[in-house]
Amino acid sequence: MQVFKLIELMGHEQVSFCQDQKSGLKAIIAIHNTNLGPAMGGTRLFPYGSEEDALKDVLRLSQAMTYKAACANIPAGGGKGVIIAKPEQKTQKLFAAYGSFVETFKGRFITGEDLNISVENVRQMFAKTHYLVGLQERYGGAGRATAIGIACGMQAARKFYFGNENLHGLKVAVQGVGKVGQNLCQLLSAQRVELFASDPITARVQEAHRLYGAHIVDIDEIYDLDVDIFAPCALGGIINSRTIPKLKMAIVAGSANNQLENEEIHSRMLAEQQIIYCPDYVINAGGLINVYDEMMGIEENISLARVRKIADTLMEVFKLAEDNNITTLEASKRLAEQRFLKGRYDKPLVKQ
Amino acid sequence: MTNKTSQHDRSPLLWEGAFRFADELGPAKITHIYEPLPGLKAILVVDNVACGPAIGGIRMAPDVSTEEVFRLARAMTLKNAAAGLPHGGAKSAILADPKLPLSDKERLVRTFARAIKGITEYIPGPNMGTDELCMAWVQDEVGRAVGLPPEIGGIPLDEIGATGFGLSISTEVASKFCNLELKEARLVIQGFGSVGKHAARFLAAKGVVLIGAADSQGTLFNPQGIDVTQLIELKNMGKSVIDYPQGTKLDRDAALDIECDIWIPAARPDVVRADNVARLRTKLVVQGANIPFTSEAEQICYERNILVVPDFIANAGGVICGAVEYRGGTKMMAFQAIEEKIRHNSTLVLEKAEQTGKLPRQVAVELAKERIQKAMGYRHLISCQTGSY
Repeated sequence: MQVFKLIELMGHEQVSFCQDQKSGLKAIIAIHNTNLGPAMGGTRLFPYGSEEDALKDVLRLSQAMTYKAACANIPAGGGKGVIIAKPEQKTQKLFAAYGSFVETFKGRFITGEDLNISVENVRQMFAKTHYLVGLQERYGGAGRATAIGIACGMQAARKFYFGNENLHGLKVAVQGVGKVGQNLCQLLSAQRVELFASDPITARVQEAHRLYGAHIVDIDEIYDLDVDIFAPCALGGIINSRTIPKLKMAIVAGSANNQLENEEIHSRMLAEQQIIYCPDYVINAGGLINVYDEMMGIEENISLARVRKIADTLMEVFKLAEDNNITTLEASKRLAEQRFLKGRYDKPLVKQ
Repeated sequence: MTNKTSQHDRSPLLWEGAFRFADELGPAKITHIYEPLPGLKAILVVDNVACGPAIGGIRMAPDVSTEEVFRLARAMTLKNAAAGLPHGGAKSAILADPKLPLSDKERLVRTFARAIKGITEYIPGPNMGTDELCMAWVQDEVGRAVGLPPEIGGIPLDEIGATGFGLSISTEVASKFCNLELKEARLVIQGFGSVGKHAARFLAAKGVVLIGAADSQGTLFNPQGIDVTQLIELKNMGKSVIDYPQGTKLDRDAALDIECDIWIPAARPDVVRADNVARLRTKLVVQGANIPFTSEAEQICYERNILVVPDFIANAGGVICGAVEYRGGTKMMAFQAIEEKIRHNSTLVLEKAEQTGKLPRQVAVELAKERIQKAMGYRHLISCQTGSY
């Protein structure tokens, strides 16, 4: 059976296809793993060309969440939801229906916003379920928390490989200056970093230029820049066989999910070119930590401290990579798996 | 006014889409469950639970498609609504060999139960490949199951013949609609298993004469009548109908050719099709099995004036028994509920069929859908919500 073939490869516990004709809802909720706790992951809305595409997307995204939570030391598992629809089809009914489905998971799946889903949409889900996060922006919001994590991650990479965590005077290219990118520019400019920014939305780069002195760069040019750090903060899959040969920087550290088009191949290509890759789900966990802490009511200072601990996790990853002569990606995988692949079958299933 | 989403690439050759079954009733949720270590692969289809949490069996077989599970789940939605039960429809399948060593089977069933613990809109029951022992394991893990062993509150429906009893009631009602006297009416049962044998027993008590019975080994035919008690004893000893001392022994599918008044299929789906329905010579068919006739065969029966009482009306005795059990009822209450509901719904359907000239199945589906739509109307939003349980 086709769905099982995909699930077997990636190890998902449960994948549910939810539909409701009245509201037009077609959604897939994938729970990858709940060993460490309830599955957490945002919901994205996208007009997928086929059900197969939607399924593949939700499977890989939910799997990444498991690894992200494990690396971030959050007692949560990985999950994700995708709603197959065009942004024009967003209605209150649609989100209420989706919320009803989230409710049927009874807390095994906790979700929030992702691509094409706004906080307002999450509030519309709130009518039917409370298993939601990110309803109120806390401590500056998930975008800011993510940016803090990235900046700390950059410092960790500089410290481990160059002996000095100071970012002063370095050149950093930020691809995408939306919520996270803008915050990152602000944090880096405060550390006297020379910024280069690109974004398909002109108003955004102009803002980054105006506020933080970022050089405006064409979206195609960003890969060719001679900079120290490249921070992809927009789309995934942008690190691939076409872009890697162009890269001149020493470090890749950004917030985008699934930056590598093909994890195995491209993590190796980067390593061969001696580019240090800060695994995306490790370095961009700030947002997850932020919403988890909001849910648990953890105090602001403590929460931000937990976000900064991303630096420590990265140091662990770098060390593991070096000691075992493996890529940083492989190292982070092992680290995560050590944490989440245990304890599941402790309760006996058959009388001893 | 409906919100139409874009038509997605169906590519039936390449991809069996889970959303291709979607209609106004459901399915609300199709869940694939996987646990690598015990090797569990399972599918749960919750079709529609507007009437209440779904009771649906767990089938264990090495190969079950999502389509099959959906068809079975939909059948349960219709059956439960038609039977007037406050339950919706669902079905699940564990992809494994039911003849596994018991400890392996237990491991799989318990893992499955844990996986569905939170899916409270689904109440599992037994089906092909699972039994009351499996249900006991499920109950132990998640506290909800029907078809339990009697020691923990189960009403042993196969022992008491709940489905067979329901069939006999439905037959009684239907006989009036085809001017048939039950006394000395000639009965053929195709599939003399747990459903068939009890149907024979209850109908014999009403004066019906069993003249033909078939199982996997062959068909027994005796126009003078077969001793039902003796035949049941033989079957209970593990023998076949063809071990019965008197009568003619025929091929397995010869049951189709025996001329009679009442013909009850109680075995597998699609036994009677367009290509063999011409062989049927009877006045009344009461469907004991699920989907034993193809829709073409049913249409031909209608044209030939053979009254066909659809499966989900006639064979609801089992699930009614399950619903009574779930509420802590007794054997007697189960029988009462079966009698009341099947009598009422069979009458309703056959009366309407007579009035409108529609096929009984069509009338039954409309009746069920009407009840479901009404129930959906009470819910604020979607068919997957059942409120707290």
